[in-house]
Amino acid sequence: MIELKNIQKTYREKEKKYSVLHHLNFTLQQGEMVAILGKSGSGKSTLLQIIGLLELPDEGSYHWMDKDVLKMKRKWNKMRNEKIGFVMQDYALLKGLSVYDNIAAPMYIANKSRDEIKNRVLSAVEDFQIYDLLEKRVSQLSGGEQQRVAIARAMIQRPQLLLADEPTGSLDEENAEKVMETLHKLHERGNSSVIAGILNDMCETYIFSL
Amino acid sequence: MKGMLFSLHTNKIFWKREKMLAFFYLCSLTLLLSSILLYCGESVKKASFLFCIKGGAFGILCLSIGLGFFIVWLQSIEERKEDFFVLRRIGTSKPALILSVQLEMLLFQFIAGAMAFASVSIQIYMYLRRNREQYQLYRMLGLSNGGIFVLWFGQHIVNLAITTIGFYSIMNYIEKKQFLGGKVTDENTIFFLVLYVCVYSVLVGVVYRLATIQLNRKNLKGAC
Repeated sequence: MIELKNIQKTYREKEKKYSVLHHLNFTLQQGEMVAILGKSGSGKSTLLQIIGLLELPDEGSYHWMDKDVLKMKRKWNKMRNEKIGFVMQDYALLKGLSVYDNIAAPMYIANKSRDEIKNRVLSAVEDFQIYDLLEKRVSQLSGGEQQRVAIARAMIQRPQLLLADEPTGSLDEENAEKVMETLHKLHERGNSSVIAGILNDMCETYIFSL
Repeated sequence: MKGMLFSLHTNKIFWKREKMLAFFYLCSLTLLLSSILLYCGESVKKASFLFCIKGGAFGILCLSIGLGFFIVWLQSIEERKEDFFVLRRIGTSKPALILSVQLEMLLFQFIAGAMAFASVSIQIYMYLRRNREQYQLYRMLGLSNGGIFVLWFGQHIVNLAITTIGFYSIMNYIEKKQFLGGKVTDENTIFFLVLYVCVYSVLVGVVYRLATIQLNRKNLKGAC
């Protein structure tokens, strides 16, 4: 489904250069679940952001279903909205809004009908057991709850690919396990491929659940 | 109203609208109320606070409120940066984000337009109806009110200037040509106010509708 070849990415800060990805090759099949393990600063997030179309590589090619993604920038917004779900370590939620509006945000952007949005959101909150939180503002939720809302939002458009960048990074052990279980269930139940970037020192805890 | 779902005021995704509106209404209404208080000569004496800070001091006070507004607005935009970043991540195009902010500004401008017009109208009306000495106070108030709205919306200066010139012209015409009874009365002042608000509402409505259609078109199709 996804094929990255010879990906290179360098960050520049003033006169210094930091090479993060160096001739990286990566392939992901439909329905596959992959965990990317690495230390902090090893380039996990950069790779996920390139796959999630949030960053451009300096060199290399990126193919999605045999189509050159880097040559179709005009479709990136639509892909980010409909085909890719992204779960961030810092949750990346809209803090002033309710849980309902946050989960529905990608559908608002895609101009879906009110009924369709309502049905999908209600179905998602039941799946993720966050029905009680629906009317609450995101700022009133705990870390674990916020992360589940973020996953619900990432899945609301039923994307083909779910990316999770250290989804358990800022959670306690109990909540972290719940989140990993949720990702695992999502993968088992649907057709989505899942890529999770996880810190090396956490891999012993979570590699089993993956 | 499927197309309106994405717009700011229905979803509040882009703007801390409630907070900004509260500030806006409160300050504008305070200024309008003070205009009315100053209009009633006797009330001025009773409203000791306003009486003490009349003239230039009142102008400075209003200008300070205006600067306060401006800072709050900038701060709000700064806070929204994070939200814009999140919205980009979930597939909102840049043109859609920019257009959304413009739409919200348009709504504020519409409200500010009505407020500014009412304030300025009171000042000019007072100029025509009362003596020039008393007018100094109202002039300061009018200028400072205008200043606040100009600070809020750079583009609003044109609107404000046109309104003021238009009002002066109409009042001069009424007095010279003995039109509508030949005097500047409460009735013809209200007539002009209503006319202005109607024309302005229609114009803003048309522009807003066109912008919303554009927004929905650009939403997912915009270049990154």
